[in-house]
Amino acid sequence: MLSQSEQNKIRNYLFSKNLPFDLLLEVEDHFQEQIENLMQKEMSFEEAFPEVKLLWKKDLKETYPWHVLNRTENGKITLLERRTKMEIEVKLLQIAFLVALITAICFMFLGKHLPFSQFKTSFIIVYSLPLFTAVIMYFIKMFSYSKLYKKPYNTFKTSIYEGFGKDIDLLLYCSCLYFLHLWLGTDFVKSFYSVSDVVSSYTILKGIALFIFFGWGIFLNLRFYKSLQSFRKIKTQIKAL
Amino acid sequence: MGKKNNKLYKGTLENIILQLLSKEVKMYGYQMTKHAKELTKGELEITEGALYPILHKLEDDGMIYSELQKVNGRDRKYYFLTQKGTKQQEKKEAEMKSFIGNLSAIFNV
Repeated sequence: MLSQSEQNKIRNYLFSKNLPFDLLLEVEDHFQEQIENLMQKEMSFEEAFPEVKLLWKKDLKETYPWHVLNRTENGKITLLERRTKMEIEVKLLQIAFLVALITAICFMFLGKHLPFSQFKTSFIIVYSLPLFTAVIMYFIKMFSYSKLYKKPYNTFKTSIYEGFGKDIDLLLYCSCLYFLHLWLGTDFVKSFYSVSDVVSSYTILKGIALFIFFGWGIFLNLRFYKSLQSFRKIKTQIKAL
Repeated sequence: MGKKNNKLYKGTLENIILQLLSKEVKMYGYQMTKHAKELTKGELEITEGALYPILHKLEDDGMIYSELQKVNGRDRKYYFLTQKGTKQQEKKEAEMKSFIGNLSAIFNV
């Protein structure tokens, strides 16, 4: 059985690796089990801990993700986190773009059956929805975190589902959406409405851009939702920090 | 996974995890690696770097679910099979048995 100070050494080491807290809890338990196993073979903690660190060396090797421009220590992620993120995010992306595709098809259908005013209203509501729901979930998470833990929100990552830079990609999404809106202009909905008519390649390009942004928005929402679910599971552990 | 069986076991890790979970009510990460090693007499070494991404993927797919439980004052994440996971495990078990049978026939084992 490891002493409290030994357990703290392990936790501090894993925190230094910038692991999301939900993943950290699992890795921590694994570390403790491996160290205890070695200690049963007449090894001291001081001998066993480096041994186990060596076993995890490759998986806990830190690198910068390709999208991180600000190359500070906090921007690094471990190979383990990157692999885990890849496994879960590919599926979320598939779902998000499937939803985006179905929505686009639905609007093409509605364009032929709804009067323009109704079509425009529903179009704007549906395509703005991901932004609002993502922002709401972001604030729910931030306030729940602040209630439990007094240190700033960006102290550590709580979940493997968290976006880069503590969900700073939401800010990026909002900014991009603003510029997209400026680019699309007010007439865009009308061109989408009359999609059965001859449309210019420029309009098609705008449609593709909107499709990508909508998919991205759905992806952010899915990730926030999963992140909130994961956060709820580890509330007690965050409170105990 | 360990270097010696890396290529042969690649792609079957999901099935191995589901199979291990079907034999126990709940399991945690370290227990899975240990159990797999014991069952194969040290032949199969599931590395942590392969295990946790797959566990998270399976949980995301709804095949398994997890619960944090306190054990000797420590937090431990246990994994359980869901109904969907049980069905998948049964399907994969049948597929694997047929695959192994075919290989045995070819290699005259």
